[in-house]
Amino acid sequence: TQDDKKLKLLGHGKEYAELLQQHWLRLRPLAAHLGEDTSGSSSPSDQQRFSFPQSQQFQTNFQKLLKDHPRKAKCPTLIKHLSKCSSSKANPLFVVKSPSTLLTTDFLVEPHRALEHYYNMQRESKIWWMRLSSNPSRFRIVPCDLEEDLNPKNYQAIDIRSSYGDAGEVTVEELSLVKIEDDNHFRLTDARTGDSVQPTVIRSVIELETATCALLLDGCDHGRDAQSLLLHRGLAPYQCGIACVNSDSKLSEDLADLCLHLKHVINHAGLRLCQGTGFASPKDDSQLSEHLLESDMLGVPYTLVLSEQTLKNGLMQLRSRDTRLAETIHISDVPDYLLNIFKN
Amino acid sequence: ASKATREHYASSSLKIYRRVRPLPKLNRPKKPENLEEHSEYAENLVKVQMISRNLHAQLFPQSPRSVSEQQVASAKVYQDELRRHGVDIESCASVPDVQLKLPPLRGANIEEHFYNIAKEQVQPYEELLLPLVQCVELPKRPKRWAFFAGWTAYDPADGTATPVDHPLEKGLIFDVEVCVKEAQTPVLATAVSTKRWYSWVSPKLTKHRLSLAKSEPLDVDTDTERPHYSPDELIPLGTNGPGLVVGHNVSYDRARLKDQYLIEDTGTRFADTMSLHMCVSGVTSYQRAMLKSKKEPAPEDLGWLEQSSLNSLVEVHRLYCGGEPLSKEPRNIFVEGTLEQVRQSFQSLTNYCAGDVEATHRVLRVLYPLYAERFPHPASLAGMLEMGSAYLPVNSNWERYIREAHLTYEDLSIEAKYHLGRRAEEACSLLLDDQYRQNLWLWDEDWSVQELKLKQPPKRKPLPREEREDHGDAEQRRLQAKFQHLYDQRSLLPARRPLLPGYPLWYRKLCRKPPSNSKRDDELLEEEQESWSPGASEISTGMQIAPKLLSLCWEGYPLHYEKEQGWGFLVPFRSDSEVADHLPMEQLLARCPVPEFAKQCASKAESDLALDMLPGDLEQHLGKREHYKKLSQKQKRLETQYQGSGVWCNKVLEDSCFFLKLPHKNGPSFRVGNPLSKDFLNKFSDNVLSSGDPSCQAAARVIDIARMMSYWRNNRDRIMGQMVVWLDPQQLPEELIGENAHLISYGAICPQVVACGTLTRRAMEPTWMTASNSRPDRLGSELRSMVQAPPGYRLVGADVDSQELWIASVLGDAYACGEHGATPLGWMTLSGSKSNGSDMHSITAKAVGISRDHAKVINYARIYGAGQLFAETLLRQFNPTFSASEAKAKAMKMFSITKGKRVYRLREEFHDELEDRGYSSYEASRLSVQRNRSLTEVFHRPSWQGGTESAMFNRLEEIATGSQPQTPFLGGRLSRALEADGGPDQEQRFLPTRINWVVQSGAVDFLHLMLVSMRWLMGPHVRFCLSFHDELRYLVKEELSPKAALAMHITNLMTRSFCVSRIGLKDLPMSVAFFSSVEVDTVLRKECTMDCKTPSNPHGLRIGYGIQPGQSLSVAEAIEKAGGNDVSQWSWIKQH
Repeated sequence: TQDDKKLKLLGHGKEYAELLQQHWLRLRPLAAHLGEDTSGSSSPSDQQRFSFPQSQQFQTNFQKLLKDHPRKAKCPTLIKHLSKCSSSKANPLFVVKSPSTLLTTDFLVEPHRALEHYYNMQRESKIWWMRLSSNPSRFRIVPCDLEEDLNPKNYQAIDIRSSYGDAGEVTVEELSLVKIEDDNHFRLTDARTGDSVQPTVIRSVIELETATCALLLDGCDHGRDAQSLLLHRGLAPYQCGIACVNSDSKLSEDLADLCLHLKHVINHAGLRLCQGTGFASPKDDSQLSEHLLESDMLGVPYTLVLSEQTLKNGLMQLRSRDTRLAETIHISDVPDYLLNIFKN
Repeated sequence: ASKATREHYASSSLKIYRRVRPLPKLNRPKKPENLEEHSEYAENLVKVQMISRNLHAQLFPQSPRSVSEQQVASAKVYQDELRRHGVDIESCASVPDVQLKLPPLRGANIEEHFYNIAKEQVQPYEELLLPLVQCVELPKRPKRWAFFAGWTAYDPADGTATPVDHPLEKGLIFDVEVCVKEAQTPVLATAVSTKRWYSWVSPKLTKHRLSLAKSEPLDVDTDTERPHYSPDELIPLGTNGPGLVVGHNVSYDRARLKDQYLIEDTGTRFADTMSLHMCVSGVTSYQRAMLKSKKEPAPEDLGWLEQSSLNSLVEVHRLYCGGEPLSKEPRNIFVEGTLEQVRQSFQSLTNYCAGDVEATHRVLRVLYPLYAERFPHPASLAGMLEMGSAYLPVNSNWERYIREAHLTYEDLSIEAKYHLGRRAEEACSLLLDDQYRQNLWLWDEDWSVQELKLKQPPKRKPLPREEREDHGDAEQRRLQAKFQHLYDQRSLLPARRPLLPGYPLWYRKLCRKPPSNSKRDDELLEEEQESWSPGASEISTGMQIAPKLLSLCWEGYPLHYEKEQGWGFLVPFRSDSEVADHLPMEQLLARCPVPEFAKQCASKAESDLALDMLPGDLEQHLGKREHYKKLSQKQKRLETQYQGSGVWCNKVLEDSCFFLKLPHKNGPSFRVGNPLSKDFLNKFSDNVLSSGDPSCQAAARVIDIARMMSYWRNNRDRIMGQMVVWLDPQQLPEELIGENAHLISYGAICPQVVACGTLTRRAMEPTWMTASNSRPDRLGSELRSMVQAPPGYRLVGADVDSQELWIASVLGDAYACGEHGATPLGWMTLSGSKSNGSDMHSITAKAVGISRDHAKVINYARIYGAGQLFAETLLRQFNPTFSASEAKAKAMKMFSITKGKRVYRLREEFHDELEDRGYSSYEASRLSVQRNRSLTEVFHRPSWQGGTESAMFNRLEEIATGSQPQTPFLGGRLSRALEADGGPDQEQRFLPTRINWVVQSGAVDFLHLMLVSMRWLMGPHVRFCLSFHDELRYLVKEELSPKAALAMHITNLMTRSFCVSRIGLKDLPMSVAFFSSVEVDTVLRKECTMDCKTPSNPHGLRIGYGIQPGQSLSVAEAIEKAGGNDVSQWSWIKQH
């Protein structure tokens, strides 16, 4: 039933959504970010896809751009803003419990090059999704049928969809191009020629919660034998775990101290460590395997594995979720080596 | 086609069915009942429709149509022969007649006409060229070159330097030098006329900073990495033509001349000594390889080696002028040096450049008379000059195209890399418990692992303290202090840290070293740090590991790589798995049980087979030619029993499996370096090559991606390296400075076409001549459609319908029957249609029992000179289910019905002792052996008989084996390198090349004639754009485009009329008289409705670029749009 399909994000998922939103802000960094629109929630509909330039919100944003970001108020330019929305669009796989967050980017471009920008943006967006995914082939650009009375020169729309085999597809981003009707309020200076032009708007809308679910699903839907959750290492809520194999109780206190120490170091470096006591302490190799399996299922990309040896020479294992192998690193490599890994 | 041969050779034959006064009106829709309509209609003895009566009267005024009794009689013979080959001469539908008033011929007949108009066209250029050719001594080179920007003229008497705008004379020998590392623009140039020397120096060289205002590219997004050339960086030569510039590979120099980029043609033409050299002494690719090789030449090669050379100026100069070899050493500064170095050696480098100009002159003096003698018709030179003036207009979309292709490429390579990287990561886990030993693809990779070990601590000294920042609360500081001794051990780490200790070697090879933190401040490394990412970041489809990670199989057997043999696959012949040490035999057998053909071999050991093979191997090694390879009995047996396409290479692995090589397109001796390369990409659809891991969906996708990317990968450097010169808005014609002028930039490419670049004098150019048609799975293949006419202009052009096939068949028709369509091949070419199955490909396909498409490929291969063996290979390639014998039988059948049988006729002196009839080659050799004579003493040259194409082959062979072969239309001679007399052996050796030359060089004549005809019909109103082989495109003002389209149709008519007249026919079939259509379009594309959707142009030209479809005009439509059929009234023609 519909209700069975209704998804609600738990702590882990909310964290992921938060990270995804931050990642979105870093995409197209030159944009003027106008923050969250608190004027009230709206519901997205296909009609709005082309009528948004008439909306109050769009006009406010445009004025804000002119007022707050005068240097950016040239064509081409970008505006980003967030808003709440009472219900999300339907898809065949799941329904997200409302309300949801809309991440909107408005790209104001020179009218004579609008199509070129539009295609560029499609590709850029698709690449963005592909990079976040465990299977980049999943994403495709699907053109939307236009109503007959809309001139394709002035109106265009596509969806970026993520597909899950026979189960169906989820739209993760919508792009629409609208040529604004003559209106003297909406004019910008062309950055190149200095002429005043009536910009064409390309709008990108991402429903944050839907996109989050789509990417989490993507992390599970891979053909491999092991039950891992393949989350992008940059967005994984937990980036790193610590485990120490402790069979000799004499040393346990020192080892525990060392783990605590590493926990501080990693936390201080700004990496997201697996929570709880901060580290696991399996008794033997089979317990370690079990622990690692669990981490894999949580989507933790890396686990530091310490042993008694570590207390002598500072060498430890950095075990990867994806290769299931471990490389040997030295304590002095922490956290720089890890930071490097998570940087890109 | 037997006896009715020579007597009729030169006479045309025709039945006139109705003699009614021709109507003055044209092109009314055909109503069969209306008798008047037939007044223009004509057909010949074998019911091929001929050109309308009015056209015939204008084109062949001296040869009125008539028919003799004798011709009617021989027509019966032709008709019977046609019927025997399955041709129903009644089956052909007629096409509407055409009425045109052509301008009067310039001469008594079509042959004189073409001679006269071509002569007229080359005359102004010959007047400039001949004084240079005849000039015994050039003016004296000045002692000192002036270091002034721009042109300087030197007084021939005292060397005084005077700045000039451009050279004063119009006939020049010219050479440009470029500082390759700096830019593609010229840095200096020298030129000489019969009067004086000139030099040109770039302002970039004289001034350290360019004084010209750097013109800001209009396009904000233009990739700053890519140079943006403006006309001001180039060399002006003046715009008032005609002018003539001689150079070696002159198209390179031409691309650096400013005026060449203007939309209006300046009338300057270019004579290329390299092209002249190719015409006179060009070589085959085999000969080229011999010329390049350092080895001692074989005696049979000495003859032609003296007559030819490679194409560089040094070699060409050595061949024609001898003497001191030219020094090319100073050139290195241009190739590797900087502008500053050029500045420092300015005098010597300019002298070097002038030295090349002098050498070019010496070559020209010897070479041009040779050329003029061997290519007597003025159309050859006219065509060459026109071909050298190619011009491709582009606009801002060019940059956009490159950006989009680039992005798409990135998009796809991320995807492919990602899939491969993921496969690699997963494969890593096979290291756990040595599982890789059981993996059919990865067992022989290097799985060794490195350890990270600490050095021994120094005995007495304490370790240096590893400083860490203190932070956090007391507890944290306590822990930091507690473990400080561990941090201190950092100094014991090896100086060169191993990469990924704990990971297998093959994986480590795919990874990059992480940026080192100690050098963090170094700015140079910042980029490196930015781009580093963990994991197999270096992986690509080009790597050896890629096919293994995708678990690829060939015919179901796992792929395997051997250094010596390249890629192949493993076929087990033992069903026990004990013998093998490393091979995962158990898994292999589980997947592919020992096939039947390999079983018989199971008991034999490797050495046994190898010993068996030794003599053959040795011979293969010693003897140069592969087909002499001897096979061992065993291998022969295996080969005959094995039905797949793998290649046996006598390799046995661990006494358990055969290793068979993948088939290489160039033949069995080549090794396949990458099964994901473009030659194999199509095999995936055939299920020959597939992934052996059903869970690996990535394989199919990676292969799809590889297929899409291959075109762009192979061509992007050439495409992005195209020298686009962007025009200043002031240089644009007024029509272009409209509303959007400041938003769109216009530019042009002068493609560097070698006007005659091959043995057959075809033009060569690496980017545009080989450009693929746009295909949905080929990224960047919309290339050609990015050549876009500026507003107010159109690109007008057409493809000559089955040009080479027609040339070959008409040669046969004229020779054997003197009648169009009287040989089966001729009839099928002229009147056959695909729709009713009466064309050549359908008829062969039906006769042999294969598909029409396959028949088509083999038909062409045969006409281009391929033999029966090749056809066999093709057949098996098309249809892997054919057994060897089946393919052989089919190929044989095909050859006997097409080419026919070889028949020997006795020489007259033997008529007394033997019956005068046709003998088979077996009989012939037996009879000559009996008489103790050689075959050629007893018999004439054999001829082909009984096949649809016999007449054509007889004619081609006759031309090709002559002592001085000439092209049939313009009488051009074969290159000296192939003409050199080397006895009958040599004749056989180069026979296929010569046969191919007759047809292909004939096609080049055809093209040159079309160029001449178009120039005559359109005068200065068309600008030549580009031509590849059978395709011709012009740039025309929009309002003149319908007239240009009609001129194209008339060009086809007149060119073909000329060609048939030259070979003795005085009539022309209607079906080939006009182009099926002439395209009037705004962009360069095969058909004007093609939308050129590709991965980088997913929305197509119409939506994506706003480019509307063009028009495709038949002759009737062209007449209508051009404003009537009276071409003689066109203003520029009337003036004559």
